[in-house]
Amino acid sequence: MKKPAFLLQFLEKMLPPDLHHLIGDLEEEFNHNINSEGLAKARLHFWSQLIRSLPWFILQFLTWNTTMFLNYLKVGWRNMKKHTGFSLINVFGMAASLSVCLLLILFILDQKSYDRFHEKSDRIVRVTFESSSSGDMFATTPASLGDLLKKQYPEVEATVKVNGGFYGDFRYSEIDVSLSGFYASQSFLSVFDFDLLEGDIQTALKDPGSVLLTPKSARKLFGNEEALGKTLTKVGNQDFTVTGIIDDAEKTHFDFELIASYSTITSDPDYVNFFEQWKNTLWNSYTYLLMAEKADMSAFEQKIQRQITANFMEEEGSQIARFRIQPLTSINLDKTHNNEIGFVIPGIIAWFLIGFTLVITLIACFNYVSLTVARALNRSKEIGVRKVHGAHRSSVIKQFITESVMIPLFAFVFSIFLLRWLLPEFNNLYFINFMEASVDTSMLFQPEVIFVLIVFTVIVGIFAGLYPSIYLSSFNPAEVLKGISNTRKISGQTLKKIITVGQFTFSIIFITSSIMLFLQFKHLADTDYGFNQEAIINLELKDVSLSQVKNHLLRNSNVKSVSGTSPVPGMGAIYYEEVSSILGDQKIDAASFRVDEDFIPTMELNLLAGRNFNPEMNSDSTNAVIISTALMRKLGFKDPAEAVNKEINITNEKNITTIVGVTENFVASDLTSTNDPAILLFQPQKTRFALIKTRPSKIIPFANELENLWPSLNSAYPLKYTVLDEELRDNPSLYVFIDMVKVLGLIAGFSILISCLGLLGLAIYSSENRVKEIGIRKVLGASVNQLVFTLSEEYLWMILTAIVISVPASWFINSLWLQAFSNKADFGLMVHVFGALIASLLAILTISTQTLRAARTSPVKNLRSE
Amino acid sequence: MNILSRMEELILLSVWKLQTEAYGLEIRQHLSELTGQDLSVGAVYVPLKRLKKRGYLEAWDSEPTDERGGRSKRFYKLTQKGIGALQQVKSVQENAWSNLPDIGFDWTPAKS
Repeated sequence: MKKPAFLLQFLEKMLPPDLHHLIGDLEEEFNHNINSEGLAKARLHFWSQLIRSLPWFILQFLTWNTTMFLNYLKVGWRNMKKHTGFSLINVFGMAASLSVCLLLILFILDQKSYDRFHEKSDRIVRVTFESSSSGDMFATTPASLGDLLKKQYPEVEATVKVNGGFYGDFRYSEIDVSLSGFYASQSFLSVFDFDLLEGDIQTALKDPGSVLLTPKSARKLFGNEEALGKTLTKVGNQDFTVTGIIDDAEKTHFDFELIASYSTITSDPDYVNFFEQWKNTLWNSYTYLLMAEKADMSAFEQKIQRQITANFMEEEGSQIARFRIQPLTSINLDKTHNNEIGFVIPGIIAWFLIGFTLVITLIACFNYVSLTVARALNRSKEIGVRKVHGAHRSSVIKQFITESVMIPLFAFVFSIFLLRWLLPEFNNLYFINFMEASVDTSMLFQPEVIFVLIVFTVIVGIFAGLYPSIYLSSFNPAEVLKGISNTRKISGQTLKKIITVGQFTFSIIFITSSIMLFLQFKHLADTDYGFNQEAIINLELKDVSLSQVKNHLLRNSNVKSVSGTSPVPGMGAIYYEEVSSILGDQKIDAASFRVDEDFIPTMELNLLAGRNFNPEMNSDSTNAVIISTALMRKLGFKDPAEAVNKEINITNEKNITTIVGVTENFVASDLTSTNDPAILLFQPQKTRFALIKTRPSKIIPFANELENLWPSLNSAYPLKYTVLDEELRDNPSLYVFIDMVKVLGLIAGFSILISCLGLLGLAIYSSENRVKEIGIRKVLGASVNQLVFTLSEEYLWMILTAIVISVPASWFINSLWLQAFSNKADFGLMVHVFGALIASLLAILTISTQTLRAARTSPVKNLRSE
Repeated sequence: MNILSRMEELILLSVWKLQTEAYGLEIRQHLSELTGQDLSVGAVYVPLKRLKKRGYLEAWDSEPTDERGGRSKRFYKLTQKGIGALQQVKSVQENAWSNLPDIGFDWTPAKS
């Protein structure tokens, strides 16, 4: 190849057609020079020409493209104005979907901004591990790992040791406040860039018994007093000196109200050895590393795996399958890690939200696609003329992409308004509140956020315009200008059908799923716990014995009965006891409750057979149990009477135990399951909670009395009690359910709205196009009803197809999450019928606005003009 | 009427000279020979386009040829106005050159 063909072609692409003769000049000169001076010189000359003219070429390129771009904008704007209805349909649909997308982008941007305020945030990592038994990830690592790694690997510059579980009641003079936080080594303040508002950053976490308070905790404990240097008492433990006030205003994955020095726990010589043992600290210690600049993280991760076998020699084998290096800034929105130190939004939630938004965006983009393609005939002449005048296919594509980007940009403005309304709603969601993950409205005014949002909008526009522009630009000018091609051929009928069916399928799935979520929520909220939670106060015993409480309270006239238990059923906390029948070796994990003899009457459990525990019988505390029907079935007994007085094995108890009674099932852990196998053990001395049943409607007066009574019980701890049925109602999993109903409901609403807008567009267009046909039909005697049917028939088929697809699909999808619940609502077919009905009614309503109008217009009007 | 620049004058003259062969490449090569500099595409085309816009030149495109990779040539021809402009610049120049005194190398400005 002698010619620099590629360059010539590139120039031809770049320069306006008006300048192509100059490229011709260059090529002719080049060919001429080859003959006269040889290839090398010709090339040299060519390049010299090219380079010297390049600035001018670039200028020409820019002016040309700007001119064309302005022309595209002008034509696009005219086209939007001319078809206001369609433009509005597209803009509103896009605005609805964009507002959801933008909200999600804000949420993710916000989440991704966590822990970025540390100067060295890109060099800080956390070591986590994968459990070998469950395969789950854990955020914790053995306490001694950090020092070990620092000693052995030069790329570790510093290590921060954090130990969770610094919580309890803290007392200063007369005030008790319960606070929680963690222990952290001195390097915590040098590696991370938390601000100390007061105190010395060098020594604040040095000495044992030092504690840092957040401004809020300091205010709680000390009011307006100066906190620095004061001593506070951890009730039942030791004294701490406040050595600093730490600023917790920055966004971080750490969640703390106070931080104690790590030396506090290691100063106890008995504990030094304890902390060296990996198995002791595996579940509660966190290791953060500051890595050297340019350290190879993945190589480092490989290298440290050998520490597992070197340090963790246990008879039962290593708990740790492998270590993982987790960058500080990706702790948020990462794979779910157990034993997380603070509130972290798991990546899976983000992925769910992203999935929903993508579907919504797709539905809105599809609207644009189907409406643009359906109206292709209107634009075909214009495309033909452009092509005849020498427009390349690529410029026609550019033109339509420009138009399709204009729609979302208009929609962007609307969506900002929608967002102002959506954002507070989103922030009010329970889990957003709970995770302290609310998105601040001020984010909307940050230039870089606006930039990201606009870039996203433009990408959506390009995506939406991709197919229509490729399709529209493919028209052959000769055909379209002569009018050979007809509507049916050109307006992408199949595509339109597929899109509409797809949109409605998704909408119906969303609608049905949100109804099912809501019904399941209702079902859970209305579930009978199997015990009577009314008028019960749940008192934390702490250092007071159950018998002491009973002695004091049973004298009170408002109290009906007092019972002890550990844990309280229905609160989500659970202990398991491994149970097996005396014959079989099948081990059953049963939720275990340590209770006294008053538990069954106080909770009004239904004893089906046998008897309650009897404190008079010494044998009851060692070898009597009461089991629930679910456990009874699992143990292989047919009915309660058969189970009574049978013996069973409990792995952790030495004695063989006898079933003395069988109760009806009750909610042991939480509402997701009403028939967990449960076992009651008679161990009053081990109970940690007192359940106090008051006389009806005496619960509030009694609570007031309890406040006065508590000091006389001489506890070192402050009084802690809750009202049982309120606490049960405050169940976080129920709130999260409402959140999901809200989120999915919104998605469902938006998706059906957008789909109906699309349908409206199609209906408008087809009734406009079929105006003559309607007129003729009418003249020939068709009634309005018949006409409406003729016009709607096509759409009815599409919706019917969508129903046929969506019902099994939504049944399948919903059965996936419902598997997590053994306590399922009984849905039946009605939910699906209802979901499909809502969608079809809305669709029919949408179409009928157009078909009725079309069918009613007088044929005289329609047929006269020709 | 604006007086032509030197480049514009040269371009108009080359179009005149080249007659039926007056298109982009020929004009540029002719000018390069004339001035002894290798002129760039832009340096010739920009004034050409300006002259055409002012009405000193008219232009038309030929049929595409193979030698030029399927691209056409743009030919130029002087208009009456162009000839007028050339004559004007010539007379201005002649006037400017006529009646010049001795160059006076030995003369120095009076020191103040």
